[in-house]
Amino acid sequence: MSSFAKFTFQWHITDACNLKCLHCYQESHERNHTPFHDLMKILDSIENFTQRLRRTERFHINLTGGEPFLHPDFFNLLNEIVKRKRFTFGILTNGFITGPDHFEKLKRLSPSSVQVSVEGSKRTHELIRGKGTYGKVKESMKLYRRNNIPFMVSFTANSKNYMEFSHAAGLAKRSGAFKVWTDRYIPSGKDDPLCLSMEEAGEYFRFICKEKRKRGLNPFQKTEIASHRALQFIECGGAPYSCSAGNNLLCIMPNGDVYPCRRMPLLSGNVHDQGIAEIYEKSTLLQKLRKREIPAMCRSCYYRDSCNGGLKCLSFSMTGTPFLGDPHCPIGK
Amino acid sequence: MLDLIESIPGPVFLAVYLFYAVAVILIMKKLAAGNAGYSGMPVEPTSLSPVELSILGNGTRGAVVTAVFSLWEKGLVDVSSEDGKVKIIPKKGDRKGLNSIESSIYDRASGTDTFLKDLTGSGFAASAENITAAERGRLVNLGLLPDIAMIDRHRNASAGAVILLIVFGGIKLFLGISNEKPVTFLLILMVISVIAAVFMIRKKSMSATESGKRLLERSRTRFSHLNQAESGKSVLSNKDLLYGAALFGISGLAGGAILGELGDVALLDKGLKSSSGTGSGCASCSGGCSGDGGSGDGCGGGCGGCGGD
Repeated sequence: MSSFAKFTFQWHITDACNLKCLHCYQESHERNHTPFHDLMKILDSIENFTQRLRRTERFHINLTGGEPFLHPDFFNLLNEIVKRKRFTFGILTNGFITGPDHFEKLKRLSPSSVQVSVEGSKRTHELIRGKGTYGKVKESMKLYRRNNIPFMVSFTANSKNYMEFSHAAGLAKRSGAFKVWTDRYIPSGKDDPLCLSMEEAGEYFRFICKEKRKRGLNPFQKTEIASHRALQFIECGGAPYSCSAGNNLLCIMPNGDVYPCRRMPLLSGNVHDQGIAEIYEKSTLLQKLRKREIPAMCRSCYYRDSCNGGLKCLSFSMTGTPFLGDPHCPIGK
Repeated sequence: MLDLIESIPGPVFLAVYLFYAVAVILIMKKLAAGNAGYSGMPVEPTSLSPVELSILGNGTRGAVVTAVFSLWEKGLVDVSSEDGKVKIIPKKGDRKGLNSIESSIYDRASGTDTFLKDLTGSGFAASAENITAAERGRLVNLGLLPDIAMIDRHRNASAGAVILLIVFGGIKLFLGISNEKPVTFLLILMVISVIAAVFMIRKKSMSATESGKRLLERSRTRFSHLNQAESGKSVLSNKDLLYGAALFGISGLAGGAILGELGDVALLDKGLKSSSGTGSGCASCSGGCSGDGGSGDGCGGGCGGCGGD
């Protein structure tokens, strides 16, 4: 393990989703739920892996889908995770599914965060997520706030919405989110029209910086504008973020496939064939990612060790390999 | 024209002159700047060394502070103080990788209590200008410091503004004296306007261009974590430490919380500042300086989530 950051699992428990967002990287929205006994098998495998790591801190699981609340056994799974007392957990959701005792159950389970997505102004949000979704996400945030469940807002910047970051941040602040998390959209290939150009990416980072400054001027503002994702330090300052895929991050898909990260769908193994520990230790891809070799374009960069090539998933999606360095980085150009 | 000027009542003329002076200064400043504000792709802060950023932000004396601090950080000098006098004591060590100004200071470091004062004296300041010539040349080539043509343009614009202010005010002044009218306020206003024109338009060789100022602002944002950090200890072990010292001054690191960790080294800023005598060397301004170290002004101051964290 090359870093002592908290180990995170991003666990997709279903492909089913009630939305079909423009920028979604999921190919199927079928009701492909992981059966409960398989969920338990995967959880056992995760627990076994964390025990082998012999680290003292708790591990974090981000549960998502599809839409995780569409899984009929979702709350049973959450109960099991809490019972094992080894993990903190977060939920990545669109926030639309709220049953009668939804919030009471969630409150008892005490997630570290629930993440909902806002894509900018109402018009842009609905262009990406579908008609009527803006009002629903606003309502959903209200309910989370009313029930004192910590929630954060995610903004994924693509070529259609990056200039509307301040809208998303503004809504998050007004709604009482504790944090705004944002990162660049990962295209499905270099010709994907939603992909940001390098100039757009730079402008987007400046928008984040502007929002951070605005927050700094208001002592009563509690919503953190997080700017620690790859390359954001170029405009926002702070220490560079180094991609943790395959090192402190693993992604598990509904069928048990394991990727270094959901945004880097490179098969590293399947939980039904091998345990996670074995996949983590033996996968040549994961081993290579952990080696943290400096990409050629970054060799003369001041930040080469701390940044280590920015978003590996972006390098993968645009060049076919995660090891070439972030295509949006202006420093190496 | 003379009749028109003569017909304007004194108090009204003062207001007109004030507007005229502001307009002249702004227009001349704009003319002097030309298209200097444009420099294409912004310069990457880390493509400059901490010493180069110090030169850009705080002039040669800023570079001296950064260089001494860098030597201390590399373990090549000790800094101690007795009776308020700061001593820089050279130590044996590996001097590989020192830049020209660090080498020069290391070679001269004598451990005497006047050394720091000597560093800021006119003798060393002049040689420091020579030592940093290569760095300054690079900054000029990058459009971050003004080249000779730009300095000339500013000088000419400044002279033009002074002439326009003196001619217009002078006519009224002459008419006023001829008619035995009070001219004290006009005279004061003219003097203030002329001084303002000179200071606002002229460009010294060490003051950053618009591109340079933008780079400094960008650099201060980039390294703001060093200025805003709560723990001095964490800043001290940060690899960006020298950039932080160059941009915020030693006492600006961790908002001043680093001072307790530094001991006598913390006196470097103060020592250089107090001994310079001319108000230059504003490296200790945690709020950041806007350029002109040489003249002493500018101081004062679901989807997309990979679930990492």
